[in-house]
Amino acid sequence: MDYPTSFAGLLSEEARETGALSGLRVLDLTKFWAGPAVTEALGNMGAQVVKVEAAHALDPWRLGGARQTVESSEDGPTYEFSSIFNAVNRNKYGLTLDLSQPRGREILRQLLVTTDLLAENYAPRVMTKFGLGYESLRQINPRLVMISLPAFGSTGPWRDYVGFAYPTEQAAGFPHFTGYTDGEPMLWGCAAGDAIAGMLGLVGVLAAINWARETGEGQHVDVSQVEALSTFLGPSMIDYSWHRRSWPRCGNADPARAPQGCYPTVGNDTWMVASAEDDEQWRALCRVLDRGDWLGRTDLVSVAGRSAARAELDAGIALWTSSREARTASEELQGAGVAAAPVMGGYDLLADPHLAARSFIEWINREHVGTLAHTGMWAKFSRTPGTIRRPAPTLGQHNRQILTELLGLSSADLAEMESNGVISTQVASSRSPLR
Amino acid sequence: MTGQALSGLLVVDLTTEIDGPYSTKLLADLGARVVKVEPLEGDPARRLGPFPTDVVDEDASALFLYLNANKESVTADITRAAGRDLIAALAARADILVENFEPGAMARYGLSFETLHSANRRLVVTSLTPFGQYGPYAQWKGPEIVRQAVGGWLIQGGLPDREPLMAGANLSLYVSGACCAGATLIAYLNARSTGEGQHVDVSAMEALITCSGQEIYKASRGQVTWTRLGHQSLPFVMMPCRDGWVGINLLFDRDWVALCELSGMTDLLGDPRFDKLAKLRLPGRAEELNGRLREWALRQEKTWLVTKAQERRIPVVYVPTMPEVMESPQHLARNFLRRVEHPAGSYVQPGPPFQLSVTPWRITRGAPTLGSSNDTIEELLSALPASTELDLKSAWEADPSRTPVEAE
Repeated sequence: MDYPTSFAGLLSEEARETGALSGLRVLDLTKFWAGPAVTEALGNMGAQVVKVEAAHALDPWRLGGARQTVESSEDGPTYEFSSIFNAVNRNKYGLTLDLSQPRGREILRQLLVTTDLLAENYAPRVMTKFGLGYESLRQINPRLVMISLPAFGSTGPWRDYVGFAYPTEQAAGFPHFTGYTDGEPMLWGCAAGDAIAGMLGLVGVLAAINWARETGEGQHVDVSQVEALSTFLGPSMIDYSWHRRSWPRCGNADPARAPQGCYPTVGNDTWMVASAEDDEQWRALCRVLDRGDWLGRTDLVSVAGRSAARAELDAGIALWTSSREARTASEELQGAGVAAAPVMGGYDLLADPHLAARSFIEWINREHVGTLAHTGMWAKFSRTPGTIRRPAPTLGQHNRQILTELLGLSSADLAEMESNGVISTQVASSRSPLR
Repeated sequence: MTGQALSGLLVVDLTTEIDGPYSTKLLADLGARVVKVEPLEGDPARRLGPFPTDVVDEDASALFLYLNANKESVTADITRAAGRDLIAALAARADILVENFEPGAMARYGLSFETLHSANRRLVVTSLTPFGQYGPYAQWKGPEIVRQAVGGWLIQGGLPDREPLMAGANLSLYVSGACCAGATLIAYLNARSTGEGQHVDVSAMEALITCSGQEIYKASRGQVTWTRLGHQSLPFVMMPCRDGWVGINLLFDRDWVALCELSGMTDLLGDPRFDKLAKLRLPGRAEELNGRLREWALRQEKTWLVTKAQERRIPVVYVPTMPEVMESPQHLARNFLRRVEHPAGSYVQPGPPFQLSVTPWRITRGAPTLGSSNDTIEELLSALPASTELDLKSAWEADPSRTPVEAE
């Protein structure tokens, strides 16, 4: 068949859109968060992202992900209600394709002819098993950039090890850096290893796209999520290679800043942080807390001395904070030039005046769930701002539009594909979405 | 040598310490030419260490060496006209300028985006700050712990009966830097096709919120948002085994079944309190299993435990200490641990954050000594195409930064 040469004009509403990356065409096979975080950022900035899902093997994030299970609802299919799925897949078109069927793979290959970036985060063996390894795909489109984000990378003895956020963070070695000074290794609060690996994957993708635009040559970006995170451990690794020493866990402390900690404030389980980053901030902290006695002590003049007196200083600061509101106290300290902030959760952030002033939160309507708050791009672009143009797709929402407008398929073709389960707009009841 | 993905890009890097330098490191390691313009006393990271002999040595800080390899160092006193002229001259020829001063500082120095952009239409200027360039908190101080507090991280960290706990290893500074590099490249790609640069205002708070989960979305739905759980029991728990720590993580019911089979705890699957993974998430429920699980794990060697679990597709991994990281078979097989020769001393550092199949990641040169490219900067300025001819000679003569360098 004849392949279309461009998406432009085919997806008419997309053709009207502007953005830093408008015209960049992305096919997104990713699930969970690492890959979707990459394509979310590209979508925010105007790329045309088609999320390809399998109706018989849903993105587990449609079902609630690792930490909770979406409860069934009488108002619609369970898999349309997941907050975590709907939040990260906005700006994406939805296409279902069963890649285990030859016809599904054929459709994917046809779409790849006009695609700049293919994103996938299956285990390494999966794409090869489907005959969709990078070497075969570049035969279709030599400019194609492909990103894979397996937990441990596409090569090496652990390439097939399964992992996601927590295992990634664990395998990189972070828990030994996190924890109370008197306690065992701990996980970060956020199950975010995959999202952070995605942020590094984004850098790799953009660099590879730059090379493709420069030379016409695509390439494969192989992100080991573990390695991506491990690049944060440079100084400690170098120190180990010099001195064979490992860094201790320091709780909320920082050897270069004292005092520093997390302190209770008025309210139920409500907290704030404060940090004296240097001697000037230390003196300002003493003035705000009205601790002339601390100011007068020679043993507290240096950061080393204050570190040694950490327990005493933390207790004194906690005494001051515990009768104050976290926000008021933080504003008072920041007003005096001392680093401080309330410890904020989702509800605090939703109502936060700073985020409001920066229009970081946008309310977007979506079928089944109503109008909900999305976070915008993490950077303000002065000429081509990030945008949220559409909510996360319902399952197979754009099947018809993509296949007819992009590939010129007929209604009869679509009906046949639907009857064979190549495409679908609902989960077939006979097949469990959890495999 | 093969070209690199970002060969040909010129980046003027005014950033210091960790977040900005990490972002420009990502670009430099992919082939961008990064000219690091340091204050006369140098990037403070030079004095933060650790050091090879545990004595402060501004050319040998592990932190500085790691973040600034592949960069050239030029000194300029931004508070003096000549220093600003030098920065403006570099910016007039650059593709990208990255800075992490407090908001408003660049404008006070006469180096606002508008000024720089009027001299170089395709220039991308990225500003990286804790809270962004405007808004009520814009002037707030934002070190690591503050970023984690406002970024939705701290509230999820630590044990329920103790104070919230931050993630270690300056995590949020590196995350901010990674997001800064991505945003910068997006604007660069756009400038490449349109000829028009722009100002990119990166907020670490917003980057951290983006990576902290979907908590704002959930709040807008009236859902429960995450508080600190500690993860001291299944479905996510770390356990010491005979020779080190492992992480045991369960995603699906089949993982739980497989773990019970591996550990000889299949009796639990017949117990209505434990027969489904979701039941392990009920408050206090999985804690009952900790003693039994720990006793089993302590009897195993970590290699056996991880290998057997992964054969059954259970997400169980090592939790390596730094010595164990350095011996990781996966790191060794993928050549992730890279030795760098540097006058300060040979060292091992992390390799590429991702592997590009065509264009290599590489460390071409070790981190620079302070001002070591001052002598070649005129060459750089004249060799690069300039839209306007600048009187660099007088800028240099007035530049006090030359003196301390030459006096060394």
